[in-house]
Order: sequence, then C-alpha cells, then structure tokens
Amino acid sequence: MKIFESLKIGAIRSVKAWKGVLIMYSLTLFLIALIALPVKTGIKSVLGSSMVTELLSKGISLDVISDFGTNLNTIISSLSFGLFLILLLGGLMNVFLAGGLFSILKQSEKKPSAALFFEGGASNFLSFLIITVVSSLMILFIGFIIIGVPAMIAGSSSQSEGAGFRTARLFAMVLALILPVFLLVADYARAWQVTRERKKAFKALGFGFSQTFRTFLSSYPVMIILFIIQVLFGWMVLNKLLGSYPVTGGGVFLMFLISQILFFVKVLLRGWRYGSVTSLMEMNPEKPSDNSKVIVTEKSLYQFSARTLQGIETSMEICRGKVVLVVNTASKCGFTPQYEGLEKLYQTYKERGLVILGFPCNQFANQEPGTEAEIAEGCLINYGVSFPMFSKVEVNGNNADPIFKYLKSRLHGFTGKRIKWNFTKFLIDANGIPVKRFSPATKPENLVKDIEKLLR
Amino acid sequence: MMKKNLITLLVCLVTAASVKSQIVLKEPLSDRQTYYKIDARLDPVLKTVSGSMEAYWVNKSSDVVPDIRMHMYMNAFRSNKSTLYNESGGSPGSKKSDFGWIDIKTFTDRNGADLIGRMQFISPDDGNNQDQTVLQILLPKPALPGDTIFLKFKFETKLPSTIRRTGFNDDFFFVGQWFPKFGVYEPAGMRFAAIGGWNCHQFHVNSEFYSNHSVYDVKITLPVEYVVGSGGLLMNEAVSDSAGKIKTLTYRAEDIVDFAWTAWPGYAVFTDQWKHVKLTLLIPKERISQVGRQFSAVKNGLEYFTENVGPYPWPHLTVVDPPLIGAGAGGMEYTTIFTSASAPNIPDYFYQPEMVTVHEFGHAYFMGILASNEFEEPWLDEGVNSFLEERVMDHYYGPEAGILNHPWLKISDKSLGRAAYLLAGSRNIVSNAENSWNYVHGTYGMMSYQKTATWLYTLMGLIGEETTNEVFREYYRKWAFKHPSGKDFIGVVNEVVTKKYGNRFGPDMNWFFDQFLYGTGIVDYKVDRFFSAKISGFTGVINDADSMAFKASKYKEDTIYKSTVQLERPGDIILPVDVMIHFDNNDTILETWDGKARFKDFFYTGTRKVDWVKIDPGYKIRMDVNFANNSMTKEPDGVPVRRFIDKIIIFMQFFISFITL
Ligand SMILES: [Zn+2]
Repeated sequence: MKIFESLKIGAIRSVKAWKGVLIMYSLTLFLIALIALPVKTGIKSVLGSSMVTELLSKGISLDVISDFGTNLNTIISSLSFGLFLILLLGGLMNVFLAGGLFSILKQSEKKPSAALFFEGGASNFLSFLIITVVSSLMILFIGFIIIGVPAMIAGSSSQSEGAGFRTARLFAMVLALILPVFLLVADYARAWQVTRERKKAFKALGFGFSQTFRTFLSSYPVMIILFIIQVLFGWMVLNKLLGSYPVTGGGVFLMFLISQILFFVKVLLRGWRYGSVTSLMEMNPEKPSDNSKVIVTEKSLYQFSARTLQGIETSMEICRGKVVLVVNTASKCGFTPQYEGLEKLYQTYKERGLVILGFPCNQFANQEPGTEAEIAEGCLINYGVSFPMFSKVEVNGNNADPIFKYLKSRLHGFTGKRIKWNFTKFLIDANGIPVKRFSPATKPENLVKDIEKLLR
Repeated sequence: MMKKNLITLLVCLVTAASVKSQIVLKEPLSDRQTYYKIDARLDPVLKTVSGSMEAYWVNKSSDVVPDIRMHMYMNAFRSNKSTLYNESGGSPGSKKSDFGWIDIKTFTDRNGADLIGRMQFISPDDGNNQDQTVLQILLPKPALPGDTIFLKFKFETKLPSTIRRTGFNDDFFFVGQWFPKFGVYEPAGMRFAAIGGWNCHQFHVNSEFYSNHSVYDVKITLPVEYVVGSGGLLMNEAVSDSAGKIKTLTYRAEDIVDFAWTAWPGYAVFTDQWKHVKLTLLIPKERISQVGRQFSAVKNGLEYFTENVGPYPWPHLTVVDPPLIGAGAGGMEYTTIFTSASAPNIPDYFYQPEMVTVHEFGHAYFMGILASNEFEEPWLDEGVNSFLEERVMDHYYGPEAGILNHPWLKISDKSLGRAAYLLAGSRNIVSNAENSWNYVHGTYGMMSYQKTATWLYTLMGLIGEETTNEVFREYYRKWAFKHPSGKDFIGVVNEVVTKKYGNRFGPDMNWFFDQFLYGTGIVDYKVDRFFSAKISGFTGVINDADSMAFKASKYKEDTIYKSTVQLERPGDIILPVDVMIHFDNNDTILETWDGKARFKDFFYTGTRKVDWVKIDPGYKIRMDVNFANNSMTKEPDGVPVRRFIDKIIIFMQFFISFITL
C-alpha cells in the first residue's frame, strides 16, 4: 500500500533528518526569545521587587495589569507590534527552514547534514517564498469563498440570527477537508523543486497541482491522516500547557522543558509530513512531458529533415546558405490569403536567396482538414503557390515536428513558446540559425525589412 | 387562573379609582402620588403607538403648585438639535421614518376643559429651545395641598429607528419612555430642594430616571402574531377584532417607576419560578441554549439582593434578551422588566450575558425601589448598582473569574471595573457628584459606574463585608419606595458604621465621601525602601520589647540591627492603612498608619532583619492606583512572570508552526 509505505518512509526520513528538525526548532525558539525576553525584562522592571506577583499565582490578573495605568496602551501596542514582527519573521524563516528540511528529506546518496540543510534552505528560498505566498493566498481565498461567502449569504438572507455563524462553522469543516489538498500542492511543489537545479516556483506549483490530482487517491489519505494528527497534537498540547499553573520555579521549568520536547515533536511531525509527500512523489514519478524533459541539442536547421507534400523525405541541408522562412499554414483560415503575400515575397527574393517552407497543420480549429493532394491543389489553384510545401505536421504538443520544437525552443512568442495559430513565421538566417519569430497577424509584406537585412 | 383574572378585571371595572385596589401586591408599597391608565395601539407599519391616557398627580406637599411638568422623552428623537443628540453628536437618522416624537392630540382636565393652550416646552437644564422633552402645563387653577390633578390625553408616539433604549427595527419594538410622564414635585427639604418645585429634567444621553412610584393600568392592542413582554402583570388577553388578527393585552403594575414593553414575533417565551417571583424570559428562538444561564443569573441576583439588600416585592419579573436587530435596546432597566445583552453562541466561559442580566436586574433596587435621581446623582444609581453587580458576579461565577473563566485567562468583574477606572486618562478631572450631563471628556461611564463601584469596594475594605451589607439593608429599610439622595445614603453609612465601630473611623464617614465622592484625588501608598544596618558599640534608647531581647541575648553587639522601613503617600487621598512587616526570623508585625502624613518611617532594633513590607496586605484599598508599589521584598518571586513569558513563547511556537505551510 502506497499510503502506509509513504507514511513509514516519511517517518523514518524525518527521524533521520533530526539535525534539520533540530535546526528548525532552535531557530524558531531563538527568534521568539528575541522578542519575548525584552518583554520579560520590561515586566520585571515594572514589578521590581514588589510582592504583587502573589496575585498572579492563578494566572494573569487584571488588577496587576491595571497597575501599568495609562502606560498600558503603549505596552500593548508595542507588544502587538512585536507579535506582528514575530509572525512576519517567523513566516520568512519558516520558508528558509522548509527549504532546508525538504532538501535533506529527498532520496539522496548524501547523508542529511546541517550543511545540506542550510544550502537547501538558501538555494530554494526565493522559489519557496513564492510557492508559500501563492499557496497561502490560495488557501485564504478559498477559505473566504468557502466560509465567508456562505456565512455572509446565510447571515444576510436569513431571518434567524446566528445563521451566519452556524453556516461558517459548518463550512469550516468543509474547509478542513479541502485544506489538505492545498497542503499537498504546496508540499509536492516544494518536494519537486528541491530535486531541480533551476528554481522555477510556478512550474513547481503546476507540478504540485498535477501530481496532487494525478495521485489523489493515495496522496489525499496520507495528507488527511498527517493533518489530523498535527492539528490534534498541537491543540492538545496547547490546551494542557497553557491551562497549567505551576507555582514553583521547578514546576515552571518542568512545564517549559515538556513544552520544548513537545514542540520538537511537532517539528518532527512536520518533517514526517514533508518526508511522506516526498516519498509519495518518488513512488509516482512524473511522466516525461513536452516542456520539461525534451532537451533540444541541435545546433542549426540543417540537421533536420522533413517530408514534402509529395512524400519525399528531404534534408534541410538544401537550404544551407539561404535565408529561410518557415510557416505553418492552413487552407481555411482567416489568414489563408497570406499565401498570396508569401508567394509574392518568394517571387521577389528567391533570386537573392530566400526560401519559404510551408508546413500545413491541422492543430488550430481544424482549419486544415484535407489530404496532401487536396492541400497541394488548393495552394496551386487559388494562390499559385510555388514555394516548397511539406506534408501535414503537428506544431505543438509531444508529437510536434522536431523542426518546430527546435524553432520554438529558440524563439519564444509574445506569450510563450506555444504556437498560437496558423501562419506563425520563423525567419532563419543563412547559417541556419533562427533569428526572428512573427505572429500570425504579421502580414508577409511587413517582413521585407528583416529579410532584406539578412540577404545583404 | 383565567377565572381569577376575570374577577380581578371585574374589580377593575367596578372600582372607579382602581388605584386603591390591590391586585399585584398585598398592600401599597409607596405613597402612589401618581397614576396612569393607558389604552394604546401599536401600528407595526407606521411604527406608532397611539392611544389615550388618563393620569393624575396628587399634591402631597403643603405648597400651592401652579403648574405640572411632564417628561416627553420621545421628542428627543425629533431632530438632531435635541439635547440628547447635541450631547451624543449624532442624528436620529436620515429618513423621516428614522425620527421619533410624541404628539399630543387632545388634552383636557377632568371636566373636559381644554389644556392644549396652556402647554409649553421648557428646557430647565440647558435652555436649548430646540429640545421638547419637558412639557410645562400652567394649571387653570393652582393645585392646593391635597388636590388631585386629573389629566386626559390622546397622544401619538412615533418610535425612532435607531434604538436608543427605545425604538423599532423592522418588526422588533422596544417601547420605553413613550408616554407623557410626570416629573417629581419636590417640596422644600426633600433631597436637595431648598424651596418646593418640580424636578423634571430633559432627556439626556446618559440618564433617564427619576419618577414617583405609580400604579399602571395599561392596555396594548396589536396584531396577534406579536409576542409581548411588559413590566406589568398580564390580567387579560383577548382577540379584539372579528377577523381574529388583532389582540388586546391588559396589564397592571404597582409601585414601579416606569412602564415599558416590547413586541416582536420572533420571541420564544420561557417561564420559571423563584420563590414568590414568576420569571418570564423572552429570548430569540436561536438562543434557546442560553435560557438556562439567563434564568440562573436572574435567580442569583434575586438571592443575593434579597439577602444583602432587601426583598424583591413583586410577584413578577420579565427578562428580555433582545435579538441582534434590537441590540440597541439591550442592557436597559425598567424595574419589573429589563433587557439583557447577548448574542447567539456566546461561550460558556464568558459571562457577558449574565453580567448584563445581573446588572439590569439590580436596577430594580437601585432606581426602582430606591428611586434616586439618576439625572443628578448617577453614581447612586449606576455606581451602587455596579458595585452589587460585581459582587454578585464574583460571588457566583468565581472570585477571580466573574466575567471570564477560561483555563488560559480568568478575569474578575470587580477587576474589570477597577481597570476601567485605572486605565482612564481622565480619571481625576471631575468629581463623582455631578449631574449626568456634566461628565466632560467622555468620563460619564467610567465615573458613574466603575469609579463608584471601586471606591465602594474600598469602603467595604475598611468597614468589612458584613457591615457593608448592613449598610444596604438599612438603606433599603429606610428608603425603599422613597427618593433617597446621596446624603441620605451617606447618612445611613455613618449611622451603621458608628453603631458598629464607634469612633474608630472618626465621628462619621464624611471624610471618606468628601474625598472619594466629592473630590478628584487618587489613592497611592508606597513602600519606598527598607534596610537593616548593624549597630555597633553602645545603643541608645531602645524600644522596650526589643531591648528585653537585647539584654537576654548572648549575641555580640555587632549582630544587632536597626531596621528602617520608609513608607510614602504619593496620592492625595488619605486613608488609614495596614502595614505588614516580616522579619527573617519569621516574626510578622502588623502596624496601622493613619496615612495622613506624606511619609512614615518605622524603626525596629534587634537581631532580626526585615524581609518584606506590605501596605494593605489584603488588597482592600482597591482605589489604590498602583498595587505594585504597595510592597517590597528582598526576594521577589519571579516565577509568575517567567511562567507568563514561557507560555507566550510556547504559544508563539505553536502558532507560527500552525500558520506556516
Ligand atoms: Zn445600569
């Protein structure tokens, strides 16, 4: 069973990565102490050698707080600023620590070490920050949609008071069921990111989503189990510790000691979560995809070949020394009249060394449905096309023609690599190096300047 | 039950002066100087209550009284220029339906002679001629001693949309301060009156009550779907139209100072019994889970007040927990009906609903039975009542947890009150003996409620809890169903305290009230420092107890110490305080300092050294603005602070861990 297997592996890795867990624990404590200890000094200086602390034996006493008098406002506002600062810094630091923890949790020949932890934290920081911020915003947004909106609707439309509150409570449970999905996305994204050299947060998030839904049946149970354990653990610990009132110095020390052990366990639990998700990811390796796996190594157009409309395999070597314009064409497109302009261009510059290569493609709104013969006939009859036409190809996706994969990898469009429509034009110089890409809307006559430049 | 009602109704009809008859109570509790018989109809669409009223006032003074003065409270909502809105700075609203007013349609005396021409609005408090909340009627013939002045009205009251004690929101109605109501005629010698005259104040933002105890016979007609609660005893309920859509409710109330009622179709009604008192609770259906806590709060109040102040005489009491749409009516008192302030799903450990219920219930005593003048002495109404409220809350809900009782944090009601006083920036700019509208800089609430309650705790700290209870019992015995003033209350305190303690606090307690009620000073006592120094060689005059020890001891001279304890009084207010001094041989000495000088030093000589010093070791002087400087020790206990900081650290650790991904 993948579920229990991954939980087991996650737990083992988390324990093995105890150094990282310890670092995470220590740095969090350090940060909090940085703010908490001055507060302690402040309170002590106000109370001085007073015995009013006897009123505090059962916890905070408003009578003692009142002694701060009108200074209390200043104290409260500086305290809340401190808390805000802790949250901000704590959040940032956690991004770093998560980077370290994920790095040492992944399958690797290297033993988890502090050096690896810090290196992982540093190199992934920016990417993790983006992943964290985006995921958190998504959770907040979804939380608002799921809890806020129904509650507001119930609250405003219902005659019954408190309906908003009850609805919110109900939908909070729904959110609790959805929250693990977002945790999965964030965890997968980060687990994937630490295995990559190049740091690309949005690609990682995309992977997080696809991996979460691709492996939902095993991923979700793992996460919901971990989620429930973490929440219950945290709640029980807080409830017990904050509700306890040891009166002796030793008692307080014991309380603090226990709390620190338990918080260390809490960090271990987080490592368990990260580790389980990481191992789940390793069990369900991603499928190779167009964008991430294919690495284009060819150096020039001349290394490719293509089949002509007449079915003859032709090496691009024939274009060596010429300026080439590659166009994906279609017969029933709004841009089809561009054939005429292309032919005119061809006629004008072919003496000076221009070649136009047409590649019919049916990937855009089915505008090239015909057979090779039909296409050839259409081009000739309607537009008198005389430049070389090739047989139908795909230009996007896994099965895209290598020529187009190559061209796309070298020249991005306005909004990415993908070819958006028929009559996208690629201009290749006389050395076989792609130099410029034109959008489908660019009319052939507007290419004159660029072509002339290359022909010179 | 029904039969009895019919009989009593019959009695009502037969007896022309039904005020003489006893229906609710066995015998009259007050002298019933006024009487009201009102027949009113609620129009839920127009938001009006219109009807007729017959009322009388008896001239029980020996004065010849030329006029009558009546409160026309509802006119405070007539415009944003009324005194109430001048004080609050707001406006009743923007649409005509937002505003409220009371119009007198017809007005005659018992013989049918028209009095409309003899009416005029006056503004005795602030001369604001835009304010129409006090009506003066110049009588055709002055009222001679013993005369009864009968008045007959037809009036229309338009309720305001912003519920400020009274008003409507959609189909919710809280109808208070809604009919023309007599002021109080004070003959010379009553309260602060030097000469006889009417005491009839305008409607102010912070106060509402000063009235004679009255009998009310009130009929309310409204659509049948409305659930009604009122300060009266329901005598009869009948459908009053042929279609069965309108009903008329007949109520009777005796010896109360105001008659208010509420109507809303959404109420669920619950009843309960406490001894002779039938309790009725009107609460939104969604809050049924809070019914138990409301009833137990009321019963706690009844029990505590009965034991420590005096009996609750009426057999009926209606508690209203208004819905959120009527939240503006929350926390309002009308003796036999009051409103709590709550919300759905208030957690068990937060006693806000109980606190409001106990407080508003308490006004049945302080204002209702002991009908002081809230306009002129709000402390005697709100402050004394807050003191009792805080005691009830801390008594029944935990001494350190009367308002909040959560394992992580407990707050006592009396500490909340003290905090409100201590943390207020303007805590010593105005005395506690002002007219309600004279509390400048937003100090009204803090002064009238919390400061008063805190110095009453301080008084209790001096004279003890049982003597304090005896003060209130005596105040009740002497002044129930009358109109006590602050000096009457002080008179009772002086009497009870000197009876119990003789001259211990001086010939009377006036010094206490002079400082706390009439003064603006603060209390602060402080341990400045203490130290013990070795005495070498010959010692001079040594006090007796220690010199005995000195002679008997086999110690060398240099093991004898002279200890000095230096106390200071930074505050202006002077109180006798206890001082506890503890020595390293476990001796404890309790000294009393009259607290008069600005400083006081105590000296001790002997083999022992001082370990710690505490002024007011029992924290009884709750007006002391700083408890922290009341004590000093060689070994301060850092444990509570460490525990607090450790808990903050723990909480932050888990919180950060919880909110990060
Ligand atoms: Zn009150």
